[in-house]
Formats: sequence, C-alpha cells, structure tokens
Amino acid sequence: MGKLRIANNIRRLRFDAAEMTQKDLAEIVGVTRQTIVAIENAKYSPTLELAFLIARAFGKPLDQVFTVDPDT
Amino acid sequence: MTFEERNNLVGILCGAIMITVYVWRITALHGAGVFDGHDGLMLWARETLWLIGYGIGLVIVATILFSIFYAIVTNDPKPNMVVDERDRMISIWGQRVTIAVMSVFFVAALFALAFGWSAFAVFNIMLAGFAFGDMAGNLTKLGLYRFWA
Repeated sequence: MGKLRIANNIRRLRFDAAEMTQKDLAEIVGVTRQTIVAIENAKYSPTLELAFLIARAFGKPLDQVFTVDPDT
Repeated sequence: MTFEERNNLVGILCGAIMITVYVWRITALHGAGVFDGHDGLMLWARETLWLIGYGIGLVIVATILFSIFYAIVTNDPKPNMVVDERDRMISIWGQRVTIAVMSVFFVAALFALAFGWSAFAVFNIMLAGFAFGDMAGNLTKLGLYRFWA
C-alpha cells in the first residue's frame, strides 16, 4: 500500500479565524508552535486525536481541515 | 526552540564535556598505572561512578542555567515547556539510533573479549558505547528538530 500524502487547510483557516497565529493555535490544542509549523508544511502528519483537536479549534469537520492529496 | 529541543542541546553539550573529561581523566590514571593492580577494575568502576554522578549534576545545573539564559535572550519570562506528540516521535527515533550504536559497541566489546583483550579495555568499549550512543541519539534528535519542520 502506497503512502498517502495528507494536505491541510490550516493556514487558510487560521487566516479566516481572525488571523489566528500559529502560537495561538498551538496553545489551544496543547502542542508546540513548531509542531503546528510542521503540520502546516505537511512535514508531519498529526495523530487522529490532534487532528480532531485542530478541527475543533476551527469549528470545522475533520475533512475540511485535512484532505488526502489526490496525486498520491 | 521547544523545551525538548533545548534539553536536547544541553544533553549534547554536557555529553561532549563528560566524554572529554572522562577520556582525559581515565587516560591520565591509566598512564600512571593506577588500574594495573589486581584491584584495577574496582578503582576504575569507582572512578566511573563518580564521573557519572558529576555528569548527572552537570546536566541538572546546565539545564537550569540554559533555561534562564534562553529566557533572557528571547525576552520571554515564561518559556514554553510543552512536550507534545512530535517530541515523543523524535525521542523514539533518537532512542533507536542510541540502541543501534550501543549494540555495535557491545558486539565490538564481545569481539575484543574473544580476541583476548583485557576486561579493562572491554568495559571501556562498553562505556564508550553508552556515551557515543547517547550522543548519536541526541544528534539525531537535533537534526530532526532542525530539518523536520
């Protein structure tokens, strides 16, 4: 089974949420800012628990925050 | 820089200092013939235990001082102390490298024993395995923190 690439809309969602900073989001979900940076850059795929926490922080369902890159 | 990344940096610096001090001290004592007698291994073990104790003390003091220094440099009186899932993932990768290096040194120590090297040399090879394994693990973690973001 090939590895799926997980894309995300976190940067846009932060912008839509009154330009929430990475640090603000990190504090809301209880991780470091560096982890948010890594997730935004698609360098790190969060656990399901953290993914749900991020989605909840934006008040969105999971599939509006994280998507599977169709090219993978 | 995250809390765990700062701790990692302190670990690398302290590890380098302790390896240098250990090699310098043990080489000097070995050169003076301190470990040549029938109680040589006992003296070596005592010396090593003291150095391990100093090493633990050094890490504690360095961690506190580095935290204060970091807070002053970044002008942040309450630096972040969060440890998250990415830190734990990086820690696991570091541990894998540490165990791999330790295993290589352990096998090298077995070979040394098999080829008639002294117990003193074999114990030192194993100790070097712990020290360099820890260092390699910490350097791996540092690399992941710097480039996995």
